[in-house]
Amino acid sequence: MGKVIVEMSISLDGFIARPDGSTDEVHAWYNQGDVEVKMPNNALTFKVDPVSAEIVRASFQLGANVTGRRTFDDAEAWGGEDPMGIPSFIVTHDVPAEWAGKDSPFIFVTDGVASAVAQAKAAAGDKPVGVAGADIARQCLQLGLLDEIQLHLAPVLLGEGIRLFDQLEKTPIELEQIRVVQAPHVTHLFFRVVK
Amino acid sequence: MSKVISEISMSLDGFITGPNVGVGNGLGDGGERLHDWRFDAKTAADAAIEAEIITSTGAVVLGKGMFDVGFEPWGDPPPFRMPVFVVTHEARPPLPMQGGTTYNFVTGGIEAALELARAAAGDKNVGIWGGADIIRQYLKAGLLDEMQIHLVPILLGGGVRLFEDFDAAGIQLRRKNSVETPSATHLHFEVVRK
Repeated sequence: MGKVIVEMSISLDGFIARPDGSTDEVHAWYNQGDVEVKMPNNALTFKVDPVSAEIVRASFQLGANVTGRRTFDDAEAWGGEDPMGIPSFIVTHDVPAEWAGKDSPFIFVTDGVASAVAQAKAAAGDKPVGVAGADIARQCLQLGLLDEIQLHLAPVLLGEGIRLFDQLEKTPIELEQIRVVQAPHVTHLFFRVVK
Repeated sequence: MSKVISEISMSLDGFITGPNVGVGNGLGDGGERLHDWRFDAKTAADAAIEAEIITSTGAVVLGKGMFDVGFEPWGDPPPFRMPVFVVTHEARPPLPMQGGTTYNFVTGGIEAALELARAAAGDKNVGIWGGADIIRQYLKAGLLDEMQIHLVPILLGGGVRLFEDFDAAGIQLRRKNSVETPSATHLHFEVVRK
C-alpha cells in the first residue's frame, strides 16, 4: 500500500502561507527557473531549475489526494478538477452544495481524516497518497497516518502566517532525514516519520 | 573582514529549546536532543562543521537569559575558550574563567556588545550564539551577516521558538550552503543587504 506524504513549501520561520492564505513568497521558486514542468491535468506550468524539475515531476506521481476544506476553498476547487487528475478526497464537515452530486469530481468525506486517508489509500493502490493543508497534515501526523514530510524550504521570513507545525501533541516526534537537495532558490528537505 | 554570524540548533518545528526552560533545565524538556549532533550522534561531517565554527570565531555574544541558564552547565572551563559578551541590563565586572573564556557583561545594548566583540575577535568572526531574542534583535537591526541553523529532524511541539513575534519586513536571505549528516541538516544563510 502507498505511503502518505505531505509536501509543502515553507518559509524559514515555519509558515506555509501568509495570514490571508497567500503563498507568493514560499512558492516563488516554482517560477524562478528555465525548465518547464506541467501539472498532469491542469493548465498550470511551472518553470523551475533542473534539479527542482526532477523533484516536482516526482511529486506528481501520486495515486490520490486528501485535501482539507480550507485549502480546497483557497484554491477555489482548482477550477473543478484535481490538478493531478487523480481521485480527490476533500475532508470537510459539510459538503459544499456547488460541488455535491453523483458526478462531482471530488469525494467529500465528512467522517474525518482517518476515513479520508483510508479511502484515498484504497483508491491509490500502490501509489502514494498526498495530503494537503496544514490542518489535515497535522491531523494525519497526530493520528500516526503520515509516513513522509517533504518540505521545500524557501529562504524567506514571513513573520506571521499559517504554521505547518503548530499545537503539536504527543511530542517529541522523531523524524529521519531521507535526503536534502539544494536548488538555486529553494532547499528540498525529505523526512520519514519514525513510528 | 570579520563577519557576524548567528549559530543555533533548531527542531524542524522551529524550537531551539524544549518546553519549561529554566535554571537547572537550560535546554528545556527533551531539548538536549537538539545538540545530539555535537555529542552522541556526532559524525565526522558534524565534527567538521563544529570545528569550522570554533576556529573561525574570535568572540561570542549571548543574551542574559541564555547566560543565566547556561552558566552552570557550561562549567569551568566553559566550552567557549574565547571572550564572551553578555547583553544585559545589570552591570557586572568581567568574570574570567579557566581555559580562555571571560564573561563580559555589556549594558549598552546590542550595538555596544557587538563593538566590543568585534574588537576582541580581531580578524575572526563574531558569533551570536543565542538566545532567540538576541538573534532576532541582531537580525532586525541589520547587524547579522549570516545565519547558521543546525536543523534537527525532530518535532518538539513546544519550547522557545527562534522566530516568533518578529517583523520580517525587508529581510532577505540567500542560502550559502547546506550540509546533510544523519544527525542534522546544517543550513547556512547569508543575510542579503539591499
